[in-house]
Amino acid sequence: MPKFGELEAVIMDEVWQAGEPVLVRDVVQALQREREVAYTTVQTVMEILFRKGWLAREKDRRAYRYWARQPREEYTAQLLSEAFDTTSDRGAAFSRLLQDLQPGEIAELGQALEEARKRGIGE
Amino acid sequence: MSVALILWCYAAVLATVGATTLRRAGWTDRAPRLAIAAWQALSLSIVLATVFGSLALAVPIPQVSANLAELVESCAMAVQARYATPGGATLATGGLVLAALIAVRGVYCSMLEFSHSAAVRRRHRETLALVGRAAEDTGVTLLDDDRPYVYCVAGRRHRIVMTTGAHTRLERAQLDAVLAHERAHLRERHHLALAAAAALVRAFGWLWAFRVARDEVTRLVELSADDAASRTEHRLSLAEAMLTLSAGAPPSGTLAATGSTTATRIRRLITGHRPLAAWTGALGMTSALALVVAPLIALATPAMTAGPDCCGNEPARFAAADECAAVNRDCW
Repeated sequence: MPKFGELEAVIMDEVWQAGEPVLVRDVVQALQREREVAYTTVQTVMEILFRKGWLAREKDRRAYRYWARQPREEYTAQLLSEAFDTTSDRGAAFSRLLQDLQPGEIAELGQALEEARKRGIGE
Repeated sequence: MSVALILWCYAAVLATVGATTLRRAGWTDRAPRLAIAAWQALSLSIVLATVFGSLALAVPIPQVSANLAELVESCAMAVQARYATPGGATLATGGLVLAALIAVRGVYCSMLEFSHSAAVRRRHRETLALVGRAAEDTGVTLLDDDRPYVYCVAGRRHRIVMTTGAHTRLERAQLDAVLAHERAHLRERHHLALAAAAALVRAFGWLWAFRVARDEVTRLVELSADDAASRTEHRLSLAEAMLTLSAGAPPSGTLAATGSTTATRIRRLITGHRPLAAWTGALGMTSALALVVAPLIALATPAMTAGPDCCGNEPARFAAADECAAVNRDCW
């Protein structure tokens, strides 16, 4: 049986892909196409995701309908802005390949690089 | 008193002349790892010299004696004597408070810095686990985004993260070079060096030397990772990758103003550079170590050779601390 952490990612994948509120049953059915997974396990993990703030839910008759609180792109944008935020000390927690070149420099360096490559053929 | 003065002067010289010299030194770009060690030694030495200098005020250094009991006695007497005189008491208390302040602030800010950046990274990793997906060929974490970004999250469960924008733009050789660069960051634990330098700025940011140290370490870890990548991959591939990533990235106004370290790094990769000879490196390492040990020696030397307090007289010759203090009062 896959670990909870791994399942969290797979379930979020499904919810994001669905694009509309889903039942636990929908997710189980989608997951079972690729792996063996118990209904109760999925239910538990989705509860965890709800408590962690990843999923929102609303009662629909006797079951809950779940949907993602934020689209995936939003989280991605947040991660990137955190990692590349060089002004606050949050950014200090990461090492990044910085992109601080001016257009003029890019052209100049590109040319230098090309020449070095040509010279490098004989190396 | 003189020991305190020597140590404080030592710290002052390191913080001014020392930092300026090291920043201007030409060899740092040729041996970035050594240069990082040198900046760390310089920083640590400044802190140690100030703390020990203040301590030297509070605790007059007694003569080291073969007999432990005698040593303890003379030490106690010397301290007693120092506190017996009004001027001595003020000086001693002041020294003690100063030493404690510096030490406590240094430790507190370090803990804050390290735990804060670890917490930021942990939360970041948790989000990554759900939002990113693993690339099958390289094992890096991929994020769906058209902008070309590459970075790494250090720590016990470290990750190299790349946007799909970067992944599609880079050719195989360039991709390998970029990954080698990031892996060097992780392997050499650059995040610890960065956090240590940042901690000192957090604690004593008013000191110019510590701000320079942080900026230099930030620059040098990149050079070090570039060098490590150049050892296994072609350095021109790395230069190309950096250029590709820069060309595809949206311009950022705040960064451009700082002047580009990236341009310098790319030029360095294109021209190649001669690394420092091994013996020069060994010499540098020894110097760095000497820098740190110097304040310890300064503190220990008078205790080994010079006479104790009581104006250089043997404390044992005085019947009581009062008498020793009386002598001290006369000569201070």
